Amino acid sequence: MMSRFEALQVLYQYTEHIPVISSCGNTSREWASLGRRDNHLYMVDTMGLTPSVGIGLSLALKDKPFKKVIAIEGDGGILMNPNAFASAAYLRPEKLLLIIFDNECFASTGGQCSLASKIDIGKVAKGFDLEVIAVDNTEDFEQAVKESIGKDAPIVIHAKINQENQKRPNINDDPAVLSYKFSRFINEA
Amino acid sequence: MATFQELACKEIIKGIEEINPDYFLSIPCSTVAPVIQHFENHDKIISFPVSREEEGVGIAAGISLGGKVPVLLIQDTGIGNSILAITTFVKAYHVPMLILVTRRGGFGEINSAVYHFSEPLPQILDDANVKTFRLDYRVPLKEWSVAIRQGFQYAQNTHRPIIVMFNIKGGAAQ
Repeated sequence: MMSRFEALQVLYQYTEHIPVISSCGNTSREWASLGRRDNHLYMVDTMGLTPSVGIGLSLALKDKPFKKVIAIEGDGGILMNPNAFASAAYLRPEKLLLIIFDNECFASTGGQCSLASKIDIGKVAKGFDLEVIAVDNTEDFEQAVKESIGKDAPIVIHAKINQENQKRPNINDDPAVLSYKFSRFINEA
Repeated sequence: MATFQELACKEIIKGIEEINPDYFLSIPCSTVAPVIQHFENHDKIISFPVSREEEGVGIAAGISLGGKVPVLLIQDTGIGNSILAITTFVKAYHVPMLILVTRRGGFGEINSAVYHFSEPLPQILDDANVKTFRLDYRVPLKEWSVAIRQGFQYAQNTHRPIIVMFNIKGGAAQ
């Protein structure tokens, strides 16, 4: 099974011009450690909100020249806010790509067991009538990313990962600066 | 003769239309049902319901970050469901957003539990440093649409969430 960092390394190759919002904790730290980009918005708190922000952004950027808007969330985060599945199913923002990294635990806080150890998040998303691609290795993940970016429909990639964490620096920027850079990139597109 | 509630709803609709938002997001409150119904049938403003206030705040924040204008309408109890998102995302990331909030509790309230949150809410918002303007019988109704429009502009100018809260049940101050 791939690690989150291996998957992020794959994703990074395809997101030079795609807005990406990453959830708080290790996900944003590992993601930022690959190289900061203004089109990547790093969330430093508000666990579970990333998919919601991604949905709103997908709606707003409907007519902008971005192929997709990507929101990266973990199993703990999406189960904290499964409302995002309901919103995505209802609104069907065609640019939304929601990537759920599922290691069945709260890795950022020490690997405590999450509800995902007994719940198939992909099935939950399918229950909301969302298109789901399930993967657990980098080759399939890369294929899923490429396929999703080319499609005009909301897609969920349910990516099973192992519980490995990379030790990466905290993101301690003023969120206003993170937001300013991201907005400037969006507005100039 | 039109009731205070009917007149207030007309003013709220007027204020929102003057903002001319791209999106209107809501969770219903019986007191503003005519407002939600009006925007559900609107030909220019896209209206949709949200499942929970926190979710509405997140979606509205994404819309705002993407350069479009959202207006979110919720009950004051919904602030309890969304205050973390309002403070640690919308406020921290300087995302302009107008949140319209209907008041619960106070005279005329029949719910025996909701006052436990609604009554202390202004203090909670003050303590969280979320700027809130309150409209009730003391503000002439014709000024309500102006306040809504100004609340929106203030959110844009100061890069943060602004709450405009209204008590349309009438009666004494809460």
